[in-house]
Amino acid sequence: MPTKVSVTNLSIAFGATQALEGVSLTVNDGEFVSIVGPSGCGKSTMLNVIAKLLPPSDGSTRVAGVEGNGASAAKVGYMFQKDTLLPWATTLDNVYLPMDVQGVRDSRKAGALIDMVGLTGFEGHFPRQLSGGMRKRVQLARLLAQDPDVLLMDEPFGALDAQTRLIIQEEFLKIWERSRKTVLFVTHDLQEAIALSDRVVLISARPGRVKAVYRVDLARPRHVEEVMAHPRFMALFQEIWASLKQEVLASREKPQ
Amino acid sequence: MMTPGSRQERWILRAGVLVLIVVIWEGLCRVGLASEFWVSRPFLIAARLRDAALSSTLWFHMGVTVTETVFGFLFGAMAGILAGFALARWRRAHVALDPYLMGVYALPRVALAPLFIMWFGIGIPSKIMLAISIVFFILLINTYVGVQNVDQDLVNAVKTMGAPPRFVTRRVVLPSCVPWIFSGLRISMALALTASVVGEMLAAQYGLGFMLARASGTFDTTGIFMVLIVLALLAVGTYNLMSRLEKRLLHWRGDTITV
Repeated sequence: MPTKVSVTNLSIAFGATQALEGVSLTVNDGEFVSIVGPSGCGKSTMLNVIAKLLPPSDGSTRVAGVEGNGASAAKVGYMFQKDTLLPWATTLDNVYLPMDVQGVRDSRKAGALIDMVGLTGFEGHFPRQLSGGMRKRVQLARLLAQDPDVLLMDEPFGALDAQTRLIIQEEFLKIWERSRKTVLFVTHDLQEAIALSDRVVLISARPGRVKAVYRVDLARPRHVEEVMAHPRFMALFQEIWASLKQEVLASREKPQ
Repeated sequence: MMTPGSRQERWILRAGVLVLIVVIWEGLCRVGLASEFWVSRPFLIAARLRDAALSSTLWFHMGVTVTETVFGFLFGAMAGILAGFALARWRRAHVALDPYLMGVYALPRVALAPLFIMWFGIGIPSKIMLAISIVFFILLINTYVGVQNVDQDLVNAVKTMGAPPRFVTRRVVLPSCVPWIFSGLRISMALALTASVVGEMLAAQYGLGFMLARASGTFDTTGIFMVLIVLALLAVGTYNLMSRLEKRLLHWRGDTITV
């Protein structure tokens, strides 16, 4: 299987603070990989480097074989934890946005995406008129409208309440299993990571290094609630959590 | 039935205040507790206003003031907005010019009136220049701050879609500056009117400010009050116009702040 994203020996420092140190990892085509680790271990920073919003201090990142800067950024879709919908644009216009960047508006595709995330009838609403969960759905539709090779997702569902999150995870999983895009997913929710992913990468406390990689050998298609009740899920959860917990505790002992 | 704060009740309350003021004012003059010479009288003012409105003089003077205000506002706003974007775009220019701009901004701009009257004469141009000198800086600063306050996460989000800088400017930076620009425009409209009137009071042959100065020079209190009422109506009218425009352009924000 061809490699879609590769991170080679990546180090990132902010002044005297070493955020990431010598991180290497690859994501294969169509693979769903989650990154978990304690807060402040540099997970989000890594996504920013891959998305070329930040330069690496050392090492390199490649997306679809294209290295560093100058890569066609349109191949990478980024979903932030924060709401990044344009507040002055309607649902439809927000979904059109990546198409406008590419210079081709496809109204049928936009309609289909809005339908897919269950927002038909809300095309003319502005973000402030939508609930948090609905805004996430618009973001998802916008992300898919871009039709990227790789989805970078930085705690995309972190700000939602627990119930809404569960529903959106389920919907997202269903959509993803149909499209099978390559996903690199940062989260601090270990259950979410296991339920959605093919592999879970555990990053250590700062300076962040790859501590372990776990393969999630649960059959697809999955349903979030069912998967969470699966014995294999629980075994994985306990195994990863035991290791993650050490890092969380270690990161708390260090000054921020 | 009137609900509290309903449209009807609001207007009835407001009309009540007006009636109260008129009755007290008129009454104090009639019973001799206040002197007509110093404070005039509502009925006298109303009669003067009617006469003035029927003759062409009031409209002519008002036309001059409105012309000065509108041109000063438009030129000043356009130049200020462009300069604000330019300064935000060229960091170095901002660094170099900042103290001077702040110096002129801090200066009470009406103090420039004598200079403008010397340079541009006592006609309309000097008043337009005075209005521009005030409006320009307000829009410059508001636009500049607006650009600085663009949500960087929105910029990044659009950048990761592969958008070139021009696209980001057009679709993210410009729209997010609109509320800042509008709050600048709202203040500027009132200040442009102030500048015109002050300029006219200093040296002019026409305009509401000139009417004020002339009435004051002849101890014509009624004339002063009449012009003040016209000015107040003019100011409220333009303010409402701006609010309406703002509501339309910024409807995505929901309730806009109206003071």
